[in-house]
Amino acid sequence: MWESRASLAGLLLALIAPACAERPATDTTAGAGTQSAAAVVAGALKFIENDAPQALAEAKRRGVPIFVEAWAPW
Amino acid sequence: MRATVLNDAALAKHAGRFAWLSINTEESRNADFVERLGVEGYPTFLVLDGATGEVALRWAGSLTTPEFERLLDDGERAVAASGGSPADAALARADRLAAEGKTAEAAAAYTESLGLAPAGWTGRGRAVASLLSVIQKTGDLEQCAALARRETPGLERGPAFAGAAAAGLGCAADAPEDAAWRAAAMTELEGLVVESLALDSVLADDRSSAYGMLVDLRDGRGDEAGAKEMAGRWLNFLEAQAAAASSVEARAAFDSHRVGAALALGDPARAVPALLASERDLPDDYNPPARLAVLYRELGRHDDALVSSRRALDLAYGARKLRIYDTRADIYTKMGDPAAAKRTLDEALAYADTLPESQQPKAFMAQLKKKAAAIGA
Repeated sequence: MWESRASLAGLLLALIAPACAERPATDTTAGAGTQSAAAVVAGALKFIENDAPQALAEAKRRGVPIFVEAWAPW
Repeated sequence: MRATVLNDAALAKHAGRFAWLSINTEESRNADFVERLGVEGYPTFLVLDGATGEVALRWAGSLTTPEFERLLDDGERAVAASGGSPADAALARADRLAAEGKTAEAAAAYTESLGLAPAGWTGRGRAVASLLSVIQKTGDLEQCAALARRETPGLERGPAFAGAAAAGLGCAADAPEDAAWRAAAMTELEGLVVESLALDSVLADDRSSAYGMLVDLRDGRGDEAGAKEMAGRWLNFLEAQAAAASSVEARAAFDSHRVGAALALGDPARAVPALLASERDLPDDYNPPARLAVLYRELGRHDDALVSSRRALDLAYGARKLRIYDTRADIYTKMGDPAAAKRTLDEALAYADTLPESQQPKAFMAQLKKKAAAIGA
């Protein structure tokens, strides 16, 4: 989602996005809803859900970077 | 991305390289962390230095599996601020600078990476798209469009090509109409965006956004027939994609764009069955009833619209409730009940004030205030 596309499509998508984002977004996670802080498996990758301190602690312990997927549920 | 790339079994071999974190940006408990990440669109992928938690690479947009794998390599190099070929190292430096908000320095480093790139360099597409992104931040629309015209035709036909074409077209469209360079840029870049519609390797949500952009452009220049024709193609595309979806969630992911396409086509009723199916299959999700409220409002089915928006409000949480309130106010206005519309907007604003500061959508709140004041006047 490139920003200029967002600015152009914004007028149209603002009509339809029920969420209150100030940028339009695609609906890749619709229905995902709130999830627990427990780790969940997304395919082959085990994501820690909504717990940044846990991810940072794990990264430090294993000596690896953190990969973050930031999303919005709409 | 969740329904497609992130579920790809081919990614299993990368599991040990990172600590993997998924963040719902609208959850209150994530507010401080999200503010620090500097997220500007969805989805955004970031690579953080595991030792410090600092952002080393930020990428907003969808990716194919090979591009995602390349992003993982780039992320590790960005943490190290070096590594790989000279072009890779320059890209890593550029990513780090961009993550630090050093726009001009990042643009120079991205440009350097492109200059150093050997033929067939797999980083080219993302480097071009990232350079376009930092140029957009400077507001130099002409440079943005010129870069897109220069680089996009040579990119491999895939997501980066599609993104660069769309970004360049966006810059051209946002430029003043009397800019001498604008018309030629629009024509060339619009042709490239149209070309991207047929690329199966581009994710469906990105292609859908491109359709929406093309509809919007045609509307903007008063080409009503062209806009309708493109909206029809857009809706056909979405319906075909939804029919082939592998799960309820994957199918519902197309709902918002289906509503947009149906509205652009002037046929809101065509999206109603899909939204009813989503509400049936995802009973805890506020989105289907919220979208139904929009469709019913446009169809003049005001009572149904109010019932749907009430169901959506009961399920929604956080800032997203505000747009539902806004739709509800519009329904009352169309029903000829300004007092109820004003009450609804006041309720929305009172609710917005209860949200944490970082979750308050200031621009949208200002719109609601203006609308409430206009009704009250």
